[in-house]
Amino acid sequence: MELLTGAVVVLWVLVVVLGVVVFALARQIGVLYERVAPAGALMINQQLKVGDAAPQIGVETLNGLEITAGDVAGRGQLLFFLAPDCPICKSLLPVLKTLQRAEKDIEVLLVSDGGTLEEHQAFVNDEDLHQFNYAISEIVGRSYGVGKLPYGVLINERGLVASLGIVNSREHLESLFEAERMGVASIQEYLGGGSVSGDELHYNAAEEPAEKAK
Amino acid sequence: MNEAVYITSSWLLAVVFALAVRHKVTQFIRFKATLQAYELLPQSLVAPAAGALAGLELVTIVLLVALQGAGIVLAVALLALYAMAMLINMARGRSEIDCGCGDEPTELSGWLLLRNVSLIVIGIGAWMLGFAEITFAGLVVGLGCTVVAALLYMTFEQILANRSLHTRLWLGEA
Repeated sequence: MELLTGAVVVLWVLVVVLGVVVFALARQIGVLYERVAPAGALMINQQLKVGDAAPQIGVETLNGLEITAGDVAGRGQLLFFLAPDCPICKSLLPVLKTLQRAEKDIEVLLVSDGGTLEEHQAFVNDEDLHQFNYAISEIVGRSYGVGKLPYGVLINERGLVASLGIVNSREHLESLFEAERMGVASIQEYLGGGSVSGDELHYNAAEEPAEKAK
Repeated sequence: MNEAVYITSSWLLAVVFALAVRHKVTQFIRFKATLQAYELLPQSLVAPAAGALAGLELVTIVLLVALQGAGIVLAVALLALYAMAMLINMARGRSEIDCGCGDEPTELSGWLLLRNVSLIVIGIGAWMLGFAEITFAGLVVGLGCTVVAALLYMTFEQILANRSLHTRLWLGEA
């Protein structure tokens, strides 16, 4: 009987430990997916490459302002593609607000499409987006090759695409700026390109479209 | 014997809701947006409904930990409600929306329905079984089973999240 009790206790401990191990392994896989390669905004774009001139498209903002997406006039421009019914987009709005305050040289333009004007208006009011220019345009999204939301395109002060990609988190958004500073198209390219020398780190993607040997 | 089953079921459901409510409270903005994306409620009702659901889940957890039958009833009702909401959106062909499970956005799938249905079966089973009295041995076995069941549940959730994570980050299709 003593032996049996002891055996049951040992088995319990083993089962719990195995449960922990299995969970930890599954978690590890998740962490690997997340950390190993695509740590930054994912770039899938057939239309635009880093270093391309940003297409200039005139749009009208919600408050009736006529502005041009891609026309930077000496400042950088971040085109942030979003939709009122996209939860991840909403969770990034506070980050965008902070960003706009922090990066004075960057003009943030929100671009959305579909839906009714009222929906967009309500979205801007609910989320207090009055500080941003908010344009509704399908053409801008199509010209910039935007497939999935939320999507960010950073245009440098010379009107060239500095970095672009799907933006799912604060880190992804920051990675767009990081990629611009480092002169690589996307964090994946940086990671995929093997070791990067100091020169490469500082070369300018805008002058030399990033086409690294894969 | 019965009490061990009852304790395991109740506490497992409590763990499930505790994992779920954490995101609802810490990322309330996102939870509201998720609820809105389900397109089942008019805009004006989304915020109050989100608050009510989070509050209801907290009450459910307390009742479940205290082994109250009402906790199981509430838990089953909430799980059925969520399963219905997912089913309606899958039928509408909108399975790409975030399920609202927290952390990694996970798209709606049969797996999530299976998860909810399994939990509902566990809840109803325990409720029908009931128990006579809580014994010390029952408590110990119940606690052990809860730990293992909770770990298995977390593993299941993790694997589902991994699937979405892989699709979104590596294939870019989410």
